[in-house]
Amino acid sequence: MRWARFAVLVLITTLLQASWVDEIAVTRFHVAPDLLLITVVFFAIRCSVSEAIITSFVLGFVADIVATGFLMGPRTISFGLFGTGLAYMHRVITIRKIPHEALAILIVGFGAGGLAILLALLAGRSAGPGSFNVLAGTSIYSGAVGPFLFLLLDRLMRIRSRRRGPPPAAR
Amino acid sequence: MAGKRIRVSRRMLFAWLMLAGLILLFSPQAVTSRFQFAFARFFRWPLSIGRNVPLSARTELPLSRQVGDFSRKETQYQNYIANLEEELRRKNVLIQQLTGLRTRLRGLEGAKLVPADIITASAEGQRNELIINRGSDDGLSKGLFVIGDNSVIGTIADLAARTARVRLFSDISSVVGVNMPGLEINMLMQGNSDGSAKIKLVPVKHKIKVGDTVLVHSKPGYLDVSMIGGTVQQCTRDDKNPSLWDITVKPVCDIASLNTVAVIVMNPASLASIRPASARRPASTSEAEASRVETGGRSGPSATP
Repeated sequence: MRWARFAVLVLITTLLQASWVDEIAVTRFHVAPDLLLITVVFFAIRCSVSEAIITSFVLGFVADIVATGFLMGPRTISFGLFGTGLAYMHRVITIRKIPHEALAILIVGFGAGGLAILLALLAGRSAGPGSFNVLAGTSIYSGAVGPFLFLLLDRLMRIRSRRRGPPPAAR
Repeated sequence: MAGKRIRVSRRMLFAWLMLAGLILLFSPQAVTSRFQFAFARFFRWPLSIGRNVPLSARTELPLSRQVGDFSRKETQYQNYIANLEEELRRKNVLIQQLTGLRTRLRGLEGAKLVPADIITASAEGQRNELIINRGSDDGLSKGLFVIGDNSVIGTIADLAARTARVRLFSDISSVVGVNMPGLEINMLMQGNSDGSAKIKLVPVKHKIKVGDTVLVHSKPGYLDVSMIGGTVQQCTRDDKNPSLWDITVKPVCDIASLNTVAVIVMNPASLASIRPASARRPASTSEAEASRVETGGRSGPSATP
């Protein structure tokens, strides 16, 4: 894992998420793709488990910083939890094809977003009307856009997969 | 020995990071909001660029942009006229009552207007708020009203030394007292989180029509005169109780295209006496100019006698 590249990537993604991504928002609920969610899924299925744990929590923390509403912690926990879970699951189920990647983003988006809303409620912050509509829209939009951003991220990060698998001689 | 790497198991790593997340979640908001303010302040320049760079498909032609500028100016003047009309109405009421109480001749005559640039804006979606580049060092405090394009758009919700969060009236957590010209009732307007706000519990015996002006109710010490905050966009009977109106209010100011706002400090003299001398900063030329613009070309802020 190239951590310097990761830091630069996180910075750029964060700034895009905080400022520009609203320009491609759709529907009256203002649904936009979650670039940080896409990045969490990317690192969870491309890196080792330890790296996936660190990247998921870091991206969750950053997502909390750029999120409006001034409550920190829900996304750190939910992104960390679901990113780690996906990384462990990826040891059993290989996610390589575009539909599978889109499905992974969709599921993690629903799960992490739902958990973040629940944690925010737990901390005494009310979820606004249409929260679940926005969550569904964001997950679907991110799932549709994410696999194509993975191609770009693959080029940028050049991560060599170190997944366990049968050695070449055994194939 | 020096080159020995510290190995942490995955479980321990996960547990520590999860613990950090939980600490963040249950930390006081005043502490955690500093991260967000620091981010907004540190990356102010790239964030403002991002706000001002629309997609090419959405860019307007020069002619239409000119038309947009004119319509914005027209909106500003209309809002200004609406505020003047409200002042006139109040003065007529005062003259009729002949109370003799001291009052200010104009709503914002003695007020200090603190101009502020918008760092980030979220006018639609779940949270409707702005982050501005003024804070407690500039004499701001929680609850102060914020105006943009000569209309009240929200209140200060959170403060740091040099930044503040403005909760727009369209935010779900915003509840503000409002009234309408000609209606002798006070109403509550609550944000709808979709760029609009709702007024409920208004009996249908009151005649309200689309386009009526909605005035933010005066609040002593914060806003001495009612000012325009929006117009009625939709007025239908409430589904649950047909004897009440369900009124949707649209802001009269386009938040998305707004770059600067002004915070109303009604009693600057008393604030200045409270604040330490080191925290006071003289108003720059641009601030004074912005104040003149916001007050409709009147002279700069003056102290209340």
